[in-house]
Amino acid sequence: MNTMFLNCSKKLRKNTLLTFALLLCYSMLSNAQISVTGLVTDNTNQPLPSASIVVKGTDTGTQTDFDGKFSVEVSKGSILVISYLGFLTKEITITEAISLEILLMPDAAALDEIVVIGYGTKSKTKLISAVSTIDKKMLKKQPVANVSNALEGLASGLFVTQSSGEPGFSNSSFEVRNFGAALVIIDGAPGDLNQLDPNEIANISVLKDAAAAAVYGVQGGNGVVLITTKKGKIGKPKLSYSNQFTATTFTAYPKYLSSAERGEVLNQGLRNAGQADFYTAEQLELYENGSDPINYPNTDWRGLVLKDWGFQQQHNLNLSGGTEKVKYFVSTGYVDQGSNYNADVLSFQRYNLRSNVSAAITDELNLTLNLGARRQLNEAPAYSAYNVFRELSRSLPNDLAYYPDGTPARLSVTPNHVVEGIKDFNAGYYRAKNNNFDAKITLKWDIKQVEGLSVKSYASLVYNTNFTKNWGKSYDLFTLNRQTGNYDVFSATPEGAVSETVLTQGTSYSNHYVLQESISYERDFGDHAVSGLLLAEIQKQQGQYFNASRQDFQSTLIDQLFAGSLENQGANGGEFRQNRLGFVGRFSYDYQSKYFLESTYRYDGSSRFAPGNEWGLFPSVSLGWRLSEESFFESFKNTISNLKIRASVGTAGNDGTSSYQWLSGFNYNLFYAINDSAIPTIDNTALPNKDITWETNTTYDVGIDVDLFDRSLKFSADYFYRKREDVIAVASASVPSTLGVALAAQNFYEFSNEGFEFSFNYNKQINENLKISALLNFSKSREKAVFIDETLQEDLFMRENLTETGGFTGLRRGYISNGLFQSQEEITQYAIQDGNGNTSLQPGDIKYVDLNGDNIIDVKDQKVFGNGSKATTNYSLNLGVEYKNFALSVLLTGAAGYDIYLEGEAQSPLRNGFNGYDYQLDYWTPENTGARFPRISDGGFNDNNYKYSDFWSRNGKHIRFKNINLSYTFPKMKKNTTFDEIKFFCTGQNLFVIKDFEEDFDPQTGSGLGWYYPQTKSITFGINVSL
Amino acid sequence: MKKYTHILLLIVTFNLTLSCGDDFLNEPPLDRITENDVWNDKNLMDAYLFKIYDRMPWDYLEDFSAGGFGSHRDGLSDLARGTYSWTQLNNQFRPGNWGTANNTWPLDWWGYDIIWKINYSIENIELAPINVLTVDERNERLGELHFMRAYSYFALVKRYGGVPIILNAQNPETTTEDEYYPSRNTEKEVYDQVLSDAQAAFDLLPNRWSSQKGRAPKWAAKSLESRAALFAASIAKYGTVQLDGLVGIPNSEADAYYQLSLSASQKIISDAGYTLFNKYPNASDNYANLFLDETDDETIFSKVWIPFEKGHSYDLHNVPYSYRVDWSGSMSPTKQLLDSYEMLGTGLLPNEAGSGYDENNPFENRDPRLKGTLLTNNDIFQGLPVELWYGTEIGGVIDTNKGTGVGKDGIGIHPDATKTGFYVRKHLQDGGAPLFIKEYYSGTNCILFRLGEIYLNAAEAAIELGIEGSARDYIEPIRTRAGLQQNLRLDTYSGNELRDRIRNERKLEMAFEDHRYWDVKRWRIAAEKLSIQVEGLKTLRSIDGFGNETFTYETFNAEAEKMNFAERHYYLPIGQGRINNNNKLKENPGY
Repeated sequence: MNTMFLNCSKKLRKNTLLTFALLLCYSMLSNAQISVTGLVTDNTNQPLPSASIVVKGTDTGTQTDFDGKFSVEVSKGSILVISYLGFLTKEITITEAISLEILLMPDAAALDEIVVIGYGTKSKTKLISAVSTIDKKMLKKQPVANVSNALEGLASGLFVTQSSGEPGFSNSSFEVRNFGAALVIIDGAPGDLNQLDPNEIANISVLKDAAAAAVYGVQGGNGVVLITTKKGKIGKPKLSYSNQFTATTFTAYPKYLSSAERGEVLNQGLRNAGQADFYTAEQLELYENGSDPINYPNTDWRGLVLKDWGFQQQHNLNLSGGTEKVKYFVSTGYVDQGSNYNADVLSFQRYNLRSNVSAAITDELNLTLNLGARRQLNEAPAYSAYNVFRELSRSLPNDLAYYPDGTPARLSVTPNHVVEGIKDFNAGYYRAKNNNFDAKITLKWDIKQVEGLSVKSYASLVYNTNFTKNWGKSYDLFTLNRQTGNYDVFSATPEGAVSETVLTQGTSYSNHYVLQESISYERDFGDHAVSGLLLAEIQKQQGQYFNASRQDFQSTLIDQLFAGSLENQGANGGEFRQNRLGFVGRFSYDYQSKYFLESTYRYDGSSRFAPGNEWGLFPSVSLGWRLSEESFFESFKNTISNLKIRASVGTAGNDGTSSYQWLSGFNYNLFYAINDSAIPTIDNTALPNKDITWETNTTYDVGIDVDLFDRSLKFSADYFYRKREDVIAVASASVPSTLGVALAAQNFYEFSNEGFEFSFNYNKQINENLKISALLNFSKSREKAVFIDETLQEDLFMRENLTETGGFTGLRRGYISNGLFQSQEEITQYAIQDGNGNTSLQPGDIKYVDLNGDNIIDVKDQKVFGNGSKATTNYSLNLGVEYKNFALSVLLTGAAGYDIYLEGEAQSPLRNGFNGYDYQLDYWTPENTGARFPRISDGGFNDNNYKYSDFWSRNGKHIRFKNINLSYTFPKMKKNTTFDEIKFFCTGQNLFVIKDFEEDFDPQTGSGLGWYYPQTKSITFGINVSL
Repeated sequence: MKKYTHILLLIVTFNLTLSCGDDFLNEPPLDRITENDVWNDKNLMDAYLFKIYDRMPWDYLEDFSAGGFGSHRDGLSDLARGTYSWTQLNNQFRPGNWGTANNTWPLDWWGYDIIWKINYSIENIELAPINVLTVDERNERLGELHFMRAYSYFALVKRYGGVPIILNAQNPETTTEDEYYPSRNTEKEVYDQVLSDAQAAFDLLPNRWSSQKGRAPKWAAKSLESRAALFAASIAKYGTVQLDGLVGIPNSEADAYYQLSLSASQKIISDAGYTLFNKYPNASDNYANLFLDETDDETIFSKVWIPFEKGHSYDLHNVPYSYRVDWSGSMSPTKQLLDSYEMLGTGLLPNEAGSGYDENNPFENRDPRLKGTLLTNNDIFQGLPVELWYGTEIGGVIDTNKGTGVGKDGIGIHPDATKTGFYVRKHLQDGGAPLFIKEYYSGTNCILFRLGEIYLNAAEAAIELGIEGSARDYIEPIRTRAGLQQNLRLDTYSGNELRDRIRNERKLEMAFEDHRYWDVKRWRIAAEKLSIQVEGLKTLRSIDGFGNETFTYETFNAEAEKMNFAERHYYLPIGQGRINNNNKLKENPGY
């Protein structure tokens, strides 16, 4: 505003005399009205509807219409002030009847960002709590089926982990500041953000400190992710269509051993155990050269099951617009996610529908109705991804998959045939349908009689229906009988069924009602600005489930319950419910937008706790000071346009950890057989504790927000300390093992989280054609145990705690390794490691450190090691450049401060009769003394080498090229064109990762065993069209 | 006017919000059963008792733990080795690499959680109102609970020696500090507790449960007395008192315990009305069917299993390789077991002079229980012959190719096939064709007490008391039923030789019924019997020019390392974890 105004006034000054004279003249003719018409557009030639046109110094004026046009009658010489929120205001002196074309430029400085906070919004200037917002453009650039998979790296203080790439099961977990599962609020009520189409989202705010989250009381202790969906804007209807076509492949997955490699490893293990080779050299050679593929096959099971590229598509069509009276946003979306299985048996589809309408009933009354509906369809083979990958690692390369005539062969270890089993759903299927509907209605009454006062009623219903169906059937496998020359049949039957066919079907319904009544008040009294909120909220959750199963179907063609046998049929079902009640108060005050004070209170009740313990008060207070508004700051103002420091303290709760621990009782349990019938048993629960209540989280936060260099660089940093008290836990370490019953859960553990986060956000329009941006986020947060139950043992080495008072949580405990034994002498001289004079050890075995120096390595030589499995640091860099119509952005994300632990079959080849991974070939032999892995043991197991130790721990730190996006927008064809915008883009997601360990697993691997559907990387092409 | 309606609406909703407060938050959950419900309803009470039954540590057909790959406790003894080289059984227990704290899978059982449930039930059932349980019903349930408490302490004492005896349901709010952190009782005190609970149970329980198979009758309690007293007696006789009696029982107590055991056995044999199972003309089949037919003539008490709904996986784990669904042949029986069966014609053991043992016909003319217990070469199982040869010799060339040379179940057909040359038959379901029984689909009941054991207990007690005639009286029916023909009263043996033959009889009669491991421990001969080089028998098939099949057998070392049972292994370690919780618990010697 300032610059523009200065320009105008300069002009005025130049011509002061002339103007003055003119004014004098015109004032005499002031009654003469002239007509002015005009078109107001923004810098992209978009018409601006509802821009305000006011004659300076008067009440006269008008607004632009839909198409940005206006016409107004003014007297000659009057000054028209054209303003629009977020744009620089323009003043034009009218000297004659004229048709104006007014171009308004966006005003980065004046636009005070509106941030969505709990139960309201707030301008960023006045915000004195730790809230980060997510750029929805970056969200939309990522070709993910679930919004949670696009959150990583977009906000400081948000920790996101995606541990699977399986269509329909790939949601990321996310936590605010590593606090645990955060509360997700969509348009005012708890919801699931993964069910939203990214195109529906208008805003995502992450409430990090108690000042922001305490208004959510007993549920807000772990931070809150707030999502608002899009609303219509005043203007002509705008129709947008976008699509994306994506090809996906795994980020990383190791290769399996070939027949010859496996044979050599098997022999090596037998040799090390003093036994004869299983394969002769000639046999190994036959496996190697593949000259006899029937008797010496080398089956590529992975190639038979998986393909390199899977396919995914997304479409969205939305319409938005509105008048002063009614605004609307209607959107429909579709996602279809295919898999990397060769067989077309694993997919996920989601249909989204949203209709957000708001209507001004009168000047004072406004009604908003948000409706959303979703349908999700999952289809998967009867073998889950875990099973498919387990079977892949269990299918031996020296087993034939199919005989030359195409007959599926029975395998030597597993009773299943992963290729045949998933092909055409031969082993059956898993199908799930989820229907989700939500309705939110808000009636807001601005009470004109009392300025700033409004009353709001809000009701939300979220209704969820799930339907799942598991169909299992047997399929035949064959073994060639060499004596008869015929095939012997073996039937691979479904797991957990007595018969050849089994069908389990289940439905569940749940609904969640929220009702809120609130009164809010907001008014400025000169330098003093006050606002307040009083709100009451009821939450009611109910649900029920029912499932049934039958077996022995007459025909595998009829996969319906009614066609199954009554024998061995089963049914199960139940209901649940819980209620919450809360009262919120919030009071804010500021003086000259310089000194800020805010305080919130929530009085909350939860039915999860015993009568008398269900109510609690959660207060918070925060203070802020904008130093940049002080007079002494004037001299820095050119560089630092805004400097705010803020501090807050508050408490919130967490009732999500346990329900109904105050009731003693019994639960239904497994069956016991009496007289040849199975009878369900009941088992006692832990001893009850009537006094149990929620845990309380107190968060202290100090932060600073700085805007530099004409607001092109924004910096924000927070330091926080959270104390979790009254954490519900069950004493066990100090409880004598002879007690025999689980103690009551108590509110007695204490933890603390300490950490910091900062972000730099740089945006600069270098010139007309070039714009650059950079966003750097860094977050660190780690939990410490302040008080936990520990054993009474005083000898540190003899304790068995994973976590110790004062130490970090989530660590591992085990032996500390020190490389491999290289010679028999070394073993003989070393501390006794096997309890048996080291007689069972051989060169190539792992050497452990004798921590307590007693020359015996036993449990007393264990300690906690590593960083645990949860990332404690994350960082991201988002770079963008726009040149003319091209835009390029790169998002790098990363995490550190955690470990991956290789387990089971990922440690040693041929464990449990399974195959191995190629990286395991680097094992110790007298010729390969620098090996990464110990010598091969027969059967892949050995008591020494596979003890829980840091030998199998890998540092998970990594940097990932999360997203690279290149787009081209067609130049605007001025007017009379059908399309407002046509944009083409291509995106690479998860293209590659720089990591610290050598095994070819993704650093966010979902299984230390490797039995999981790996994360995917993808290439996407897409187009956005709007008209 | 409109506005006022709106205000009114708001006020009404506000009031609703506020007024529904208390009840709204105190709606009870829908998925819990309360304490009050349980102790006032016979069926719920029984559902809780069945939970206790289910968790008792007496079953031996179930594998040690889910995913334990068929490790059964007899795989720890000299009856068999585990087939899978990666199991802890093979890596820890057999080579003796165990003993450090809490390193005791799959033997460890610190069942104080069960004992708590039992004590808690006794306390509540004693108070049960008469309209809920009749006096008889109450007594029967209390009898079951005393029986199970006796068995639980027996399970503890045979593992750890003396353990703390706790006879009430502890609660940290009411239990005194001293009881809450208890010291170990002596081994003798624990055995006496077992015997007194067994006596109490015997007095309370019914003679038989009518149509409630799976619940313990009074004779189960008497059988437990017979067994536990025998254990106490042998520990007194052969063990050493250490740690002031925390382990070991004074030598002077031995005869009294033997006498107690003998009296209990005699009472069962004379009063209980059980008879030895004898239904099939073929003695081997008769013996095998004793465990499959699930009749009540010999079985005093068994755990009932039903396929699928409450099934175990014994068949899945133990069938020969070609009958497998998944894991097969997880126990490979030892050649040493094979050598323990006497020659049918002479009544002598193969290693005794003049026994008539033929190395090239090792499975024939033997104690019929051999073929009732083991699957040997070319035995018909599930309609097909079991083929155990590792290779086929034709014209002097041995073919060990999997497709042509190796029998379908033989050593080398696959690393998962038998490691010793033969398989277990006992407890496996048979049929006309391969059954392919899946995980949790075995419904074979697990016999916990049967009359056969009682005869053996009686014979052992008698011989230890020096009453040889009586011992012969008790061993004769067992040997007769087994189908033996010679020396049925073992008249040619006396003294320690007779004792050893009675012990051998026990080993064979109750092979794979989870007795051998405990027996060699209480006789204090485990350091010798469980430190052996396990041997197997390699079968070679030869085909001559006329196509005739002949087999030759060769003994070989079937395990790379010797088994190693050290002196300290007679007791399991209490474990560092338990001492960390209560440092009044003293660790066992040698750990």
